[in-house]
Amino acid sequence: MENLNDLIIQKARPLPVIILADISGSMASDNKMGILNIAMREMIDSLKDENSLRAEIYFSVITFGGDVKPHINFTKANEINWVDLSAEGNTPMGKAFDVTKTLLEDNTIIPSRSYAPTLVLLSDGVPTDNWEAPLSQLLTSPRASKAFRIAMSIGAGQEGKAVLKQFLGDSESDVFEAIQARDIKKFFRFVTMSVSQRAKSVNPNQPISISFDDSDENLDDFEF
Amino acid sequence: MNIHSAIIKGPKKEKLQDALGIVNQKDFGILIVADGLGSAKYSEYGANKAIVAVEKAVVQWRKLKKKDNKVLIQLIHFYWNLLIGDSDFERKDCLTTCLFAYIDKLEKKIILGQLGDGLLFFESKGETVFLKSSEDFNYTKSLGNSKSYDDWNIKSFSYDVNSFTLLIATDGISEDLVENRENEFAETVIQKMLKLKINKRNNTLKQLLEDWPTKFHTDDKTICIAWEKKK
Repeated sequence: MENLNDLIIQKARPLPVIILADISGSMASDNKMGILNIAMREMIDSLKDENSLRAEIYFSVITFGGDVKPHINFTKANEINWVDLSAEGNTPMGKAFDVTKTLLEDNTIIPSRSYAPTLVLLSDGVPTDNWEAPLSQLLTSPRASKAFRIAMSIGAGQEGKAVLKQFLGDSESDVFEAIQARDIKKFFRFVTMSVSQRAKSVNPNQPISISFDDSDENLDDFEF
Repeated sequence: MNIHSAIIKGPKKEKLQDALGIVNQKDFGILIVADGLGSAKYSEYGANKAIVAVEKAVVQWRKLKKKDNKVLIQLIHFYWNLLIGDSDFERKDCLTTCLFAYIDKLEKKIILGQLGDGLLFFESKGETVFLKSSEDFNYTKSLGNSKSYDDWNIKSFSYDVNSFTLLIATDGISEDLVENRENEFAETVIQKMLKLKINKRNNTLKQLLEDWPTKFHTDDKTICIAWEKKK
């Protein structure tokens, strides 16, 4: 049935992973940005080398530090060459929520046949712009409300952590707290395991059951 | 009326969660597909009961004087709830989509009904009716969690009994079809079928599903295609 194959999409369904990364000036201290770059690179390399997946993992990295920029546009994991981020500026997290909502709602970029996205937010501080309305709009948008959400506080304090908790919404997961540099790697190990398990599943839209503690093995030691 | 169908379990899945039902009587036909939700433990049971519920609902509904579509949908929910309630399972564990076509050969009328993901395509008299769920990321309405008639896509209209095409498919198929070319897919399948002896057609359809070309496809797949081409 050769002709029929022209009418059937050959490409696998995408599994989107969207990372909202705080790269404000304070991320430069204690080598946080250095470790973040290593952790992100390892996550992407690990997922691009994985050969037992049943979905194609796509990454989008949106940074907020001074301004909001796409560091990686929606790109298949095995086509990404990671370029290190550098820290500068304030923390326009509200604008990052707006940009994320626009990206998620664009079905020319993220097709309807995609599996539910994973949204990852990490920050070491408090937003410096108006974030409450943009976050509310993001969380009530049809697609973001169906996303798996994960958040990490890198010493963001009570106020910053409360914002991250609000990002998680009703989900049962807690904000991951990175106290030491190695915790950033641990967090990204968790994200990698979470995405990898979904991508290996026969039903990648099903939540998986792993905890942050499962990602504690074989980590190199890092100090701030 | 030519009717052919195939249903297969998704690769590496433990159990088939789709279900298929076909009734082809002298006066009417019913084509039903259901896709049990992966998140529901006993959704294969729910999907199979959706087929029974639609069949029972249509039989009772046909006896009514005033054949209101809304009543047909109420009957489907009633029978499905009854069948699940009479089992050892809870409704939340049996969630399933439900897509059907009721074809009244005497009145020359057709009703298409869709609750949740999947595709219904019908073409007759040069007119095309296309029902496809707009739900993203496989989150879908279903028997067991739908409480409103508005959750259903319903279309009813007259058709030419001598010339029509009908395709019903679960989302294991519809999500992988090139958008806006689903009609070409249906016509191409029919043309392939027409070149085969009748007893070879279902096996050929099944082979199409087993050789499905989408990379890493995981879903169960169910297709039901009906047509008449007398003119």
